[in-house]
Amino acid sequence: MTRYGFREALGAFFHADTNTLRRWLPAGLSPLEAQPGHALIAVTAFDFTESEVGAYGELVISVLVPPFATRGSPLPHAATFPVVLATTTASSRAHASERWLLPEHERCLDIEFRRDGQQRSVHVHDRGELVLTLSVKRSAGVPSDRLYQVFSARDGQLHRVNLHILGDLDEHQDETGRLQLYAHPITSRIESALLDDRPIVEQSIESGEQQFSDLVSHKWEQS
Amino acid sequence: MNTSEDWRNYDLSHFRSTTGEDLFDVHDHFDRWGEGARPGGYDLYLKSIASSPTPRVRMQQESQPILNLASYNYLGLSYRKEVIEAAQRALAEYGLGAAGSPHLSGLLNLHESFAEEIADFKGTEAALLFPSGYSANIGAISALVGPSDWVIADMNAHASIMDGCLLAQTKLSLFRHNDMVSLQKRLAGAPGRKLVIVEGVYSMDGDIAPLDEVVALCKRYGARLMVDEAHSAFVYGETGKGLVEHFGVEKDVDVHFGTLSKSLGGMGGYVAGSKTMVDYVRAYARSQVFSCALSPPVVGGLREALRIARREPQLRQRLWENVAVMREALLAEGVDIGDSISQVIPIMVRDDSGIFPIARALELAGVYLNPILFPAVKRKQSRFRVSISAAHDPAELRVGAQIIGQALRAAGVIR
Repeated sequence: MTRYGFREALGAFFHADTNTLRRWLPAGLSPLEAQPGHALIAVTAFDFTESEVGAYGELVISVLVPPFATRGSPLPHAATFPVVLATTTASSRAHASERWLLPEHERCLDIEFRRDGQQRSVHVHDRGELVLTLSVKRSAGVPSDRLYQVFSARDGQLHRVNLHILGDLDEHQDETGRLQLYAHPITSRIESALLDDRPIVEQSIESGEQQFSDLVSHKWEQS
Repeated sequence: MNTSEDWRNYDLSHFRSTTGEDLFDVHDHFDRWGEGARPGGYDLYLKSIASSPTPRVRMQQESQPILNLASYNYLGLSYRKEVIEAAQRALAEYGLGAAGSPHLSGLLNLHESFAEEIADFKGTEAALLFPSGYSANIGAISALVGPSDWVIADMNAHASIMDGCLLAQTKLSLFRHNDMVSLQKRLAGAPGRKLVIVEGVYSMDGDIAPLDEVVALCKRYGARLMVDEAHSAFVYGETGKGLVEHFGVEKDVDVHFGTLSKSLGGMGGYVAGSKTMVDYVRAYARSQVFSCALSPPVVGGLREALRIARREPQLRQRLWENVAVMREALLAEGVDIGDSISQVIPIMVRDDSGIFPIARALELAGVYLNPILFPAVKRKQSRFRVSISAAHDPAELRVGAQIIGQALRAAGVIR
């Protein structure tokens, strides 16, 4: 078990074009659709305070995919395939790539969390230039422990890892959040798929922890 | 799922799309979830009632009748004596079933007459009957559009509209609920042939589509327009033609959709419009082609229900008076009814597991209502859906509103 403590996390799900997302996924995975042609992108940011590689900020952009369900094992709450992972430190980027085989953005970004009343936002900069801002509304949270599944691919092999995220969670569908994208290689990719910049789900977690199990090779035959 | 105790962490959406080694593995997860979810409140769904859906229903054979605010029997026609007698006459004359698809042996003169009467009522050239509202939507949409076309639909549109798009393999673009700026953006971003689909009354919120604005945008962008009047036909407009009549846009709508299960109190659906459109849908709506035609006694009853709806405008008047009574009574109790302006009135609770004990308390106190939660509505927007009928007694509605207010106060939903 690998643990990462975080002060705050923000997340939001957006409708995105299924066909575009399908091209981002390796063989064997397909996008999870909310409506016909409308798959889901998750944009999440973590403000980690404790980890094997110290404190750092993280931005993850993922495609939601159907979870792998097996009899006798807990059913994941959701499953994702990260297509962008950017952090604020070189050691955390290398760690994510080596340990979890996750994609590694070429350089460090600045990830700043802000609070304004109920509004929570994250502002991501690259060498002083804005990359994106994500804002969500937070009301009272509840203690939560959810199991997620994260897929990754390297050298033609699919891998998956179970991930518990614990913390004080507020999740809603009030359509009050907003994603603003600025010119950048990361955002041009999202922009090509995004169908609406208003999130259909908003999440805010405070005082939380990620608990990773061991990475396993995904044995399911790739089609 | 680890144990059935975890059921609150999951909802129906979590079991629908999974992968795995065995197709049936997810059934175990679903079953274990049900072990917790059913006693937790999901047993309130698929719960039988022991009487006809009148304003007062018995939940068990021997129990006392309680106020029914859950059935969408808007004009109280399903149990009208004349309707039952007409159904009995059709049963005696034609038997129970049509015994065939309408395209083969199943089309009875009864069906033809009723389709003509629907068209006459709606003021369209033709109408086509379907076995259900769901089959009408999936059949019509999959017949009218294909993979190279666009459907531009309201984000809150009914599941049958989404499923119709899935069946048609069409390009679907969703605009924000009742947001005309969003609709305009979607229209501008959809080159080629397009069909806009909106509902008249939205079934979970009770608000209505701004049809005059929708029509104007469709004309501007050369889009065809389909209006789903499942909850507005036979109750809205001066003669009950629906929201299209309310807005005076009957002739600007290309595809009129409606159900026969709500205001007319039977079952089935219809699509009405130009003869050429209806003939085309008749040929390609597979949900109609490959289904048995509507049961004759149902059609017999529906014909009488339509006659009553046309000759008794006082039913609609009574319905709207009852809606005004209930709205006023609920607002006086401090209940949040969202943006509803129709006979569908949401009672906003916004507590996805806390709504179940309130439902049980309401039933014990004498009010039957169904909890509605994700995925039927958004998370944390759980609610009860009140359906008002012309047959309700205004005094009983006032008492019902008081009971609802008391139950919500006891649960801490309102002060």
